[in-house]
Amino acid sequence: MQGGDRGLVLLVPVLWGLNFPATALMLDHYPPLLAATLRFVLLAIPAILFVPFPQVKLRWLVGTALGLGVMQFSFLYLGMATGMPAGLASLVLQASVPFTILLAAAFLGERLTPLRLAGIGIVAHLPLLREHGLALLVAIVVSTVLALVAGAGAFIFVARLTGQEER
Amino acid sequence: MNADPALIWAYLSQGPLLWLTATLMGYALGEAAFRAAGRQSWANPVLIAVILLGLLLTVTGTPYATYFEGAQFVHFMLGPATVCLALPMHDNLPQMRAAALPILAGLVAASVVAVVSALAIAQAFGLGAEVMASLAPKSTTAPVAIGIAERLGGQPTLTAVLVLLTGILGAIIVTPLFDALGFRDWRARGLAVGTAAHGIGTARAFQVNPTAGAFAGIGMGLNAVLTAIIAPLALRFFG
Repeated sequence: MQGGDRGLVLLVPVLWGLNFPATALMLDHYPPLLAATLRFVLLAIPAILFVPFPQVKLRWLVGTALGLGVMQFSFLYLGMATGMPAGLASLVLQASVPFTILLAAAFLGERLTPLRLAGIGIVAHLPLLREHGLALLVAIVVSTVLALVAGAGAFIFVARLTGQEER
Repeated sequence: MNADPALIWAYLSQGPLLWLTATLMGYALGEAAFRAAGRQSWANPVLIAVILLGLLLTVTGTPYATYFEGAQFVHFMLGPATVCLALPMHDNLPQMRAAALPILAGLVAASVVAVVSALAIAQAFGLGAEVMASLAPKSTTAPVAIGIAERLGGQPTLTAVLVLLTGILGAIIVTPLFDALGFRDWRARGLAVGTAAHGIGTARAFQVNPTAGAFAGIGMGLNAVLTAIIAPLALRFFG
């Protein structure tokens, strides 16, 4: 991976993060279930045209769509419309990670390594972030990392444009 | 002669000399630990000194004001030390002139992202206006950040803590972060850490590479001015 590729990879979580404030904005104008439906209808058009039909049994496809598209996002939009802040919603949604690990261990026979258990322990404490001290810490950590990457990235980008690359 | 340790303590703890000595010793220990750890960025000497002094103040029940009476001599040296940064900048002047445009781009990007992303996260967590005003200037050097925060209605004490945290964090993550991303240009790495993590980041840059250090110095200096403009604007947008 070149430096630019890694920048693109970093863009993915940034865009995913933006999805929550965007949802909050959308809920200012639409009722929650309509908003969730619109989101998936908009997504379905390019998906049907450009993504090949997945080679799985139809019941798995429908089951995933009902679980992820209907259940998860309906509840997310209903929760945010009821007053859950966007930042907290994004954190709560990450609760799927520890649950996936536990359910996979129970039903699919995946192994629970000490590292995974430690990860679940950390995630289980994330609701504490509502306390200001930890929220401030998150703000500092994330903004410092983003500022470092943005600053060095912009410098390198403009240095290339103006022919001032390091010799 | 009275050798009661409690009396000796009562005498010593009144004078500023004790806390000046403690500050210098704390840094000396931090520096020694940093060397012993093979100059790894996680063993930041400032972080170690802060932890040691914090423990000492907590254990002895010393109020911060008493401590600061001694520590203010070190605090005063912050000014002259900042001026000394002009020296390596002067040595790198031709290189800096040539890279004026990249410096400007990196400075603006890092400064805007530092302020806006911190405020966006703070707002998402529902932090109050006073806390957000204290958070906005956290990437600039401490005296300037405190000045900006006061103007915006923040708490100077909270700002001082956030500035320190930002500096230590930036100094610790900068090398592993840019190594992982494959950013090898010392000028870019220095400018970014100076802009995002002020003096502590600049000190780290000088430990790693002299060119990075000089560019960190200019990033830190210019960002003090830029944040004074950006922070009020961004705060109005989020307020």
